[in-house]
Amino acid sequence: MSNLERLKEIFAELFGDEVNLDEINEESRLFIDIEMTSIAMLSLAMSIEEEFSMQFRNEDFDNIKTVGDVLRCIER
Amino acid sequence: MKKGKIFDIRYFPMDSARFTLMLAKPFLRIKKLGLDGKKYKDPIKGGRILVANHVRFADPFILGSAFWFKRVFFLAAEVVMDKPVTGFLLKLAGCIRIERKKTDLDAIRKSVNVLKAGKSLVIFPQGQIIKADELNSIKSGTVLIAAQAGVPIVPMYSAHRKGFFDSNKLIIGEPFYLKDYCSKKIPSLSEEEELSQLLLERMAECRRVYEKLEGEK
Repeated sequence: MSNLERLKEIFAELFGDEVNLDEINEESRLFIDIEMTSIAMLSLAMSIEEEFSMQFRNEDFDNIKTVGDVLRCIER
Repeated sequence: MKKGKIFDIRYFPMDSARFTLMLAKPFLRIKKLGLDGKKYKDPIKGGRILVANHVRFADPFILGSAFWFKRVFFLAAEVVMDKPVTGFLLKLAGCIRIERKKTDLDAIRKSVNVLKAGKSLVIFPQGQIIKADELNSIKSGTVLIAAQAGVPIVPMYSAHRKGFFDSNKLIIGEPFYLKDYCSKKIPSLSEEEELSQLLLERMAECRRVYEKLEGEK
């Protein structure tokens, strides 16, 4: 399973029916296309840390705008 | 649970602040009451998230004084913590800085670590001073922290004294564990909203107790 697929599963768990997984791709903008809030971003970050056994830095979030940005953080 | 040392150099600034707040307690005239309207006797041991309404600048001092006997940490907004001298002193006294409008994972981690170490953390879940004392909504970060740390939340209502001879009252509700409502360490957004609403209702319950006591005067 690709990291994008695993990430989509996290979106599904967190957001349920509120997000259309088919429309999520690397170019999807978190705060515009997916309409995330800062609290939602917290939950997402914590879920990602647990799933991928990694840790974000606070400064990462200054540059995270799209799903692709999240994947690049996961894969660094 | 390991008991903390009475004297621990790491906590010297916090303990100094606690000592000052202990001395201030008779002047602040704080009454801690339970949901039955009687004196609150639970010593509140172990890691707990203490949540209260935030209507005035003095609220953290009231709560700090009410719980002077414990090493209690506070989650404080960046607007307070970024002031050069006060921010430094608050940090020493046990305040954890949180940036309210950003994804502040560091603050969440620090909060969880404090709670897992068996300390208590005060959070004003409305995220700002609400002078009108409306309990309409709260930020769901409190729920996230509680879920991660696995500690109970103690809902409270803080009522400002009405005159010199009156007392500042703190109505303290029953602690509740999120795991009784949601088994996941990271609740979904809809679960977070429901749990936040539950917390709001518990705080409102404390307020109703206060209003009933005032009505009986």
